[in-house]
Amino acid sequence: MAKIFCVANQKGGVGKTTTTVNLAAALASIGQRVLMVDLDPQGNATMGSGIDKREMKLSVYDVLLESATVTEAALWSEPCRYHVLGANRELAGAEVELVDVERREKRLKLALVAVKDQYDFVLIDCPPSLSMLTLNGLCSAHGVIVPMQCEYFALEGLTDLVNTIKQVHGNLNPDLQIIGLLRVMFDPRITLQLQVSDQLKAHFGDKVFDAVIPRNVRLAEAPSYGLPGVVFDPAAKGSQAFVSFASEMVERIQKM
Amino acid sequence: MIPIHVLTLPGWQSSGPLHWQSRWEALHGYTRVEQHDWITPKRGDWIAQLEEVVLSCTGPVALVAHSLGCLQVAAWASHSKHVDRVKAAFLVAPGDSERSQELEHLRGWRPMERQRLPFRSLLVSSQNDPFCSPERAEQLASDWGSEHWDLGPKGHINADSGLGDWPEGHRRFTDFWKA
Repeated sequence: MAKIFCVANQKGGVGKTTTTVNLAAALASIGQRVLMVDLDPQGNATMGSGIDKREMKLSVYDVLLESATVTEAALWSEPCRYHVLGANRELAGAEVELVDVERREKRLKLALVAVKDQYDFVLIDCPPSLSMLTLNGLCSAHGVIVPMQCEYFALEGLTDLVNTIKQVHGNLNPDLQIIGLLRVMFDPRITLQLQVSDQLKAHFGDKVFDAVIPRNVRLAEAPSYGLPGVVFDPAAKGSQAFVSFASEMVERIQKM
Repeated sequence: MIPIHVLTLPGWQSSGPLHWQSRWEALHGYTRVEQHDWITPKRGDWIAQLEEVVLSCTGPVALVAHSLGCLQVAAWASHSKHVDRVKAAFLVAPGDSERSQELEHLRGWRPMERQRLPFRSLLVSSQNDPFCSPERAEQLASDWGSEHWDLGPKGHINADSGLGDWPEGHRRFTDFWKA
């Protein structure tokens, strides 16, 4: 049965989408069956998975509005070797259109039930704001992966997310937990980053993943080619770090 | 009196400079609700855009829609929590998205929203509109609870209809929202 994870952080620009698409590609590269769900109307995770968001006939929007199933709307990305339930600007309308419907925060969860045996992992890329879309992601998930840059204000953004997760856990989804914090864009030459990294370890202990994603030019370049770095340049240090992270995730879910 | 914001909502591919909507914007300072994509009109995106613009207005709003813009108003009004901000809607030549299943760019606009509009509205139709028959226009006016103005044989009531600035239409619109 698929384990479902949101990649979330209420701070913008921390590498959520990069983490989602590269983890998806890395899991696929080690033989896992993966569905990547893009819940951000910007559609960057869709484009970054080799799917043109402008050409999609169906998207996660249709799934949330219950006019299509996940199987109907998901597309296979041949280069990435995972399925993509994509998003484009149309998804912004769901914020308006779901306001007055029942079970509005559980639309995605209910839709994913039908495909739970088809995948090992479902990864959901959430928008940075706490919206109905993010709530749908958090209600669907067994856990949250939090990408973090080891910078001075990183912990402040984390406080907001932890409070949100507590509320969702208490009211909507008792399964929800933080699976772990992933240190991304890490540069060990910067003393502050080492200090913040140590603080994270001291404060969150085992919740901090062992894998560390280094700041890497090839990961940054990959989206302009419409591919995750793991696919664009598998030999790059950043790509290899994501494969290590994927292995760590597989180990962690066996203990869940 | 609190000033009203008049928002224009063009249809598919937007309204060109000779269209009465563009002329009204130039003459009266009305604001167009711009879309990210006028060529592939995504229903959700258009609804979200209208919501955002309505919320950005500080006072009451009047909507002046043409063609697909009328369907946008109906779709938005059936869900939004902010419909009380709209004082009136002027709905001109609504496009019938259900007239053919082969209109791929209108796939997301089928079925058409038929719920009664929660604000006053005036639907203007033409007897020879290639995109909506008079019978369908009458039915839509009934479903939406709109007053109905049959303009006679004026095509799609657009730049090709020879209306110029369409002063008669503007007078009717102004009288309607002020009533």
